[in-house]
Amino acid sequence: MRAMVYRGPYKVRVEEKDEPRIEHPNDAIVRVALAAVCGSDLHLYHGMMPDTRVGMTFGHEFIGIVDQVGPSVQNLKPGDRVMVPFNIYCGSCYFCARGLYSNCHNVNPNATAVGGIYGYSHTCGGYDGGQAEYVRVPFADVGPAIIPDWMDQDDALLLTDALPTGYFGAQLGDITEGDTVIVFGAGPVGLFAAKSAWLMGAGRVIVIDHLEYRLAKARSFATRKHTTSPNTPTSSWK
Amino acid sequence: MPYTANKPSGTPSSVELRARIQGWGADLDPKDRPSVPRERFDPNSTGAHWDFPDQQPEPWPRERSIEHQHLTPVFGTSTPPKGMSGAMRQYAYRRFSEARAAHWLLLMAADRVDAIEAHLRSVLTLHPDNPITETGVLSEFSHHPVSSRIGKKRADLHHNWLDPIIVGAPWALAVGFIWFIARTILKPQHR
Amino acid sequence: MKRTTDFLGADVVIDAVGAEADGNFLQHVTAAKLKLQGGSPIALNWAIDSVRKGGTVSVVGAYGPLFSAVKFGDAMNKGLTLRMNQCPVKRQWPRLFQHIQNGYLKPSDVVTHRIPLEHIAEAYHIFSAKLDDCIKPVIVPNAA
Repeated sequence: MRAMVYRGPYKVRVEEKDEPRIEHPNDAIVRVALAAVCGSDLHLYHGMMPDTRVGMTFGHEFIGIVDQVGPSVQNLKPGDRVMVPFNIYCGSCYFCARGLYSNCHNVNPNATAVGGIYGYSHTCGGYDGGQAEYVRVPFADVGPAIIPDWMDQDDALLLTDALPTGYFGAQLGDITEGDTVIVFGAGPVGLFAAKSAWLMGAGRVIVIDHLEYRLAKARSFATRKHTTSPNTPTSSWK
Repeated sequence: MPYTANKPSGTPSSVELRARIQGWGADLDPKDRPSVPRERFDPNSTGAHWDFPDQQPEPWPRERSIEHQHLTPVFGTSTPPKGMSGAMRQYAYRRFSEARAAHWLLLMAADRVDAIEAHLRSVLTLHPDNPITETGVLSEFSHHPVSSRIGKKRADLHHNWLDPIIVGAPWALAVGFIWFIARTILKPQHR
Repeated sequence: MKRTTDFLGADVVIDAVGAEADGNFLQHVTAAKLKLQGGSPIALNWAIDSVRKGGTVSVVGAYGPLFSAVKFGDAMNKGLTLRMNQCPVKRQWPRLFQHIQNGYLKPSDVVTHRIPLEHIAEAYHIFSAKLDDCIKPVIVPNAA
């Protein structure tokens, strides 16, 4: 199959690679319909994450169609259109049982400090990611969900990482009514975090970035004030 | 105002915000927020139908953190360790825990060695690394390279000059190494 | 930012920048270029600076496992609550599905580029160099 592979800092290309196989009874193989590049993929691209190996496929945001399922898979069958969270998790360990799916202890032998993530170096478990034609999806009964009929495919793709992360960031802030919230970063996650802050009842939301075009996007994304921030911040008011 | 007990001025009223912003306050009540409380013990809600997963077979001695009691039941099998970078990686995992800077610095060093080894290996194949296509710089010609950068107050412009050095370093080292070997082999012998 | 908040500081600051934060040459070069830190802590430090005393800093930006030079003394002295994690995605879905159906959110609004898998190198470069007003690139594999 065709797959993106990492060739060293700032270098990637597409190669022929073996299709992934079922390696565990609860695996599924998903044929990728859409994938995305995340801002955090850039840390891999720039060589910042330890144990990023040449030949690895990145991509932790993807949706697709189930192609094969392992013998113990109950909730999915070939042909299902699925959206897959970027977390790889078992659903049964200490952390998964308490809702901390991003901190699963049963999927990442390389580091106890972080859970499993698709295509995010061996520090996150050594799984190839979804910027490819096919991807191995462990614990298919736990992570993936069938995309609802009413949902737009692009929306489903953004729900695998960027939107939940921004929404989660706003929840971590314990926002109460009328609070002043500042969001650093007007990338997708920051934009979603800002909108989520409004959902939680913020009184003012200020978004900060050094890229003017991203702040322009923030303006139309229903935020109140925005500031550009290289070394000398200037503010513009809506 | 921090100098008095009052909150800052200028915050719009909730009524006004609710009218202006779609969905304002939909999650005002913490009970509606899915990650509140952050830890919630509910093992039956995940879809897992096992207490402990089956063990995935180990295709090679799988490197793992010494802070794990044993190999995890499921693990990734992308890019097995090989070459000098592989030996460095296996040593880092075996010798140092995640708590030690040496663990991570050694893995970072192995990454750099891996890049050089991979470029060298690729020269011997039909598909050598091509720094022009693989860095994607050809996209500069069609995606507003100048207007995206000039006249904007972008914070990254004053260190962009470092990027070609970082990108080119493993490539240059690999090429230099080949040149050195070739020169040694092909140098005419003195009689 | 202090002026904007009447010199109080924000109640909540969310870091959605992560390891490649920019704005300080020394921090960015030692972290993002030389990889001597787990991530550039510029956004974290600015978050600590711009939140009010007793406020909350929420971190969802991604960082690497190596140490970073964070202004922890200021965080301590200001009595901050620091909360962070990689997002447990599936927990958010039921509520987010409702918000999308109610029309509060249209996530695909952020997609700016749709690029075939074969041109992944260009996609990464455009995204990395922030060309062409790129916010979110979507990759389309051939088999799709």
